[in-house]
Amino acid sequence: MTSDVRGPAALLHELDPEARRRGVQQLGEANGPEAIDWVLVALGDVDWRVRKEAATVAASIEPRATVIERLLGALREQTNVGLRNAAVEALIAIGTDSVPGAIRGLVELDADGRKLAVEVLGGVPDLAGTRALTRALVDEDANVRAAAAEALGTAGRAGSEAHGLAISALTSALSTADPLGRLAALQSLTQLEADLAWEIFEPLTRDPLLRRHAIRAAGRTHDVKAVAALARAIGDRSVAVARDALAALIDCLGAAADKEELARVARREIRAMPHVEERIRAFAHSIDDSRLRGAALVALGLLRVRSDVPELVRGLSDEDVAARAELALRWFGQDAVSSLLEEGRKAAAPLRAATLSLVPLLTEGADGGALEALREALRATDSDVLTAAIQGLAVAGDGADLAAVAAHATNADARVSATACAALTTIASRHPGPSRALAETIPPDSPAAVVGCLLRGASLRPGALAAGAQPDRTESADIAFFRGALDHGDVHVRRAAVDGLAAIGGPTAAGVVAAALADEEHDVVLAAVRAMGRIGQAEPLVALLEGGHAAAVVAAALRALGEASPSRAFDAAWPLLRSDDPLLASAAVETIGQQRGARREQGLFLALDHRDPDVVKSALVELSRDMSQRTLERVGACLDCASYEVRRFAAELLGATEDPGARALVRARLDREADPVVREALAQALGARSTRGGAT
Amino acid sequence: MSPGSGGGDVPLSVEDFSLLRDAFGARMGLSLSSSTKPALERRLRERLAVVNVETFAAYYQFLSFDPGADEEWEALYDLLTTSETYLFREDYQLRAFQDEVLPLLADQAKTRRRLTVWSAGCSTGEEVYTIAMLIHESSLFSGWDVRVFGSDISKRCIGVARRGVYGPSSFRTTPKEKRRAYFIERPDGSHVVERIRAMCHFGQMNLLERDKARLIGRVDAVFCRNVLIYFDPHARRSTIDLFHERLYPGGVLLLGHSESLLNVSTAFELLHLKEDLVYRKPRTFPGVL
Repeated sequence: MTSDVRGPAALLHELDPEARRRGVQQLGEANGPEAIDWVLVALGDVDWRVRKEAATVAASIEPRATVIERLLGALREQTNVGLRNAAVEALIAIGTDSVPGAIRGLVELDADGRKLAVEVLGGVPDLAGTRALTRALVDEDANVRAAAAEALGTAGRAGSEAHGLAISALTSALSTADPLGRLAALQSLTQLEADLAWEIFEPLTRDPLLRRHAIRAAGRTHDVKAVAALARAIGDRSVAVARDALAALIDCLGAAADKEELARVARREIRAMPHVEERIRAFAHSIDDSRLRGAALVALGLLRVRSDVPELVRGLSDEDVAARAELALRWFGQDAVSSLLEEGRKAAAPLRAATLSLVPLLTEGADGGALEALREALRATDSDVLTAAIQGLAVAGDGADLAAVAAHATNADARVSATACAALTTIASRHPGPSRALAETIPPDSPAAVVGCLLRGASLRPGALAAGAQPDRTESADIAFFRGALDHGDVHVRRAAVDGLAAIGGPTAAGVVAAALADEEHDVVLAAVRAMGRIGQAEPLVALLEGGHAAAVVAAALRALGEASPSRAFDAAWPLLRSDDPLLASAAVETIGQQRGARREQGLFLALDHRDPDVVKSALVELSRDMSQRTLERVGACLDCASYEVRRFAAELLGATEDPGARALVRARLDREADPVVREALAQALGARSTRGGAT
Repeated sequence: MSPGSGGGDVPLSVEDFSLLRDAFGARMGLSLSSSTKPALERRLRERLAVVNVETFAAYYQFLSFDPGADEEWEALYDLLTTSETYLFREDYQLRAFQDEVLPLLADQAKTRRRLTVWSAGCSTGEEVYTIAMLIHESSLFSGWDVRVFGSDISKRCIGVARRGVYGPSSFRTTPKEKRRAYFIERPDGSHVVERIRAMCHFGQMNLLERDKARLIGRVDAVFCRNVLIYFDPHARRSTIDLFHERLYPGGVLLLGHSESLLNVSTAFELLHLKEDLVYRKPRTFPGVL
């Protein structure tokens, strides 16, 4: 025995399973036939922890071809079930290299071995493997056929061609006489999200064994006949079938393009069967099954019966079904509003806030009752309620609401004040007249000066100008106001004044903003830097870049310079690409990414070598906007980056391209990637094409 | 207060979602699938206004690099985590803890006469008080120094937990006799009685910050139910390692019913109880970990 394996082998003889596991771990550092022998021994260990470790180690040991042959040999094992299962796990961990052997196994092995080979092929995304699995659907052994049907459920990971092949083969398998195989085929078609015609599933719904599964699969069938049948099936004698039918119906409506038509059919069918309606109401109370409850709530929304609104509102306060309850209320629409608000008034603050936040989504234009409720809620003290009411008024309110909303712009709660400020800007841009009138009542040194800044700034925005604001007449008055506001003691007022001056633009405003560059507050300085960019003042920004300022100021100046003078920004950004400070390097990446030309790509490639993963990811984002062949290769190289976050990000970007070269890079990395998070991203990147490819 | 036009209808691009997802994963361990993108976009939009940025890309930059981002992270802890919980949740597991685990721990800790249980990710504290009630009822620890420590990433949740005052939704599965025995009804809610409160302590803690977790000291049992399901594999692994490090040999780890250590750690052994499976730190593994 060589010295490499002597130590680990000794540990494998220990009684303590943890010691044996450590022995296997150490085998991972040794290669060669002896190490492989011992890994095989460990794969058959009585303790699952040892077997699991061995399956991981087997994937990294060399020579790989020998490992695969030995593992395939283990599939012939008759007595040690643990060994066989661990061998399957190891072959899957090895990846694509296992596929040819597993395909051969489908011919050479006995029925039990063939079933295991099928499991291997199901675990490794590969087109050739998928083809072999479709052939195994007609294997002489029923268990192998069923396993093949089950394994094909993951074929989407092997790309669009494999996805299409699997769906076609599984659809054919539905018409065989093999109940087990048909069941597995149905489940896999659901997993593959196959959009098949209702006619395919309809006969299967009459088979007691397959009924539930056929109903589940029909959730992807966006067909009027399917919707009607599913609605009827909610009244089935079997509660289990009814549950599945309800869930499938809601899935069906959720994904359909012609939702309104399908919803109309579903509503008509359910209303025609009072017992179905009652069953849905009963399901809506099932607190133990949130999926069922959620589906029932959506169905109630569909039915639009006002007495159901309280239940939908209760659903909003249950985190498990809140999203479904919201969807239900959206289905319900405007008719739910008065009951919704009534329930909200009686409810505790978080629920009241939830009801208020739905109002603008359910009403078209300014509904009188809804507006009244939102205005009333402005008198609340709870932050959630206030925020929801202000957000509602931002959408539905008018000039008459400005003063009441403005009262919250100085609220002590940052969320409320920020929401109020944003709402003021939105309302003012729709109603410049009342906005201007209110603004002119506020002096620049008053506690409410921030409101004056916002309203004056908003009246200069394009939306307000389109709505009739007249900037020329008021520009000098506004500049005077903002100049005064820059001396305000409140930092927020000064910042808002800078933003207002940026909206005016021009040399006079720029001169006033320049003074704010010397403000003692960081936030005001940053606002002034950004304002300089918007006004187009390059010189002060270049001076800031050269002046040894704080990194945050330099980064902001660089971004602002990108707006004021792209070419100068490019030159200034280049040396910062290698900055050790990720804030500066990221700003440089962003600035260079916004330019055009060959140097852009060159600079971004440079950033891919930065040691900070966040900088690398920023460069990847910029590169992904224009994926040339060269870029693709460099992004592909990031799949080997030490940071798992970068590898995952690169996999996602490659997955979003349609390039076959990207696919090959992802596939190659998948075979040797050990990190589960990255593996998942790689597998999804391979599968992403199946959805877009439209092979179904 | 923070003026600014805020997020408006600015969309969350796929790339920005990935960047933010990574940032949340690194800081909080959260695993966010692409299906959460619409919900995340909705929830984060109002935060753009609060920190006065106009795009999600700028928001990511702010979170990653701004020296003042800690306050924003606090807000995100509340925004992105689930605080839904109630007293006596998953009663079969609590029965197993009371009937089988506590006697085991009483035996193991009899010389030190100190019992420490850590509820990691305790949200608003219902689990902590439930554990304290179970320990109190077991009568196995009279005269012992008993501490039940609850930690959560959310400062707001810890504030609620410290108050120990609960409304009706926290009592959805609480037997009436327990409510009578351990709570005092007042107009503002049901108050945990002092003898139980005295056993319970709380602290804000991010399970990914190991140094802070070390302040807890060694513990006899860890409850971490329905927390790891929200974590990515790296955070899960790191958290399990932390629990292993903090547990006394022979100490137990109780996870939620849908959680397991399969594919995460082999450092624990499975302990088969009558009604449940729990994980135990092995007692005699010299030289391991």
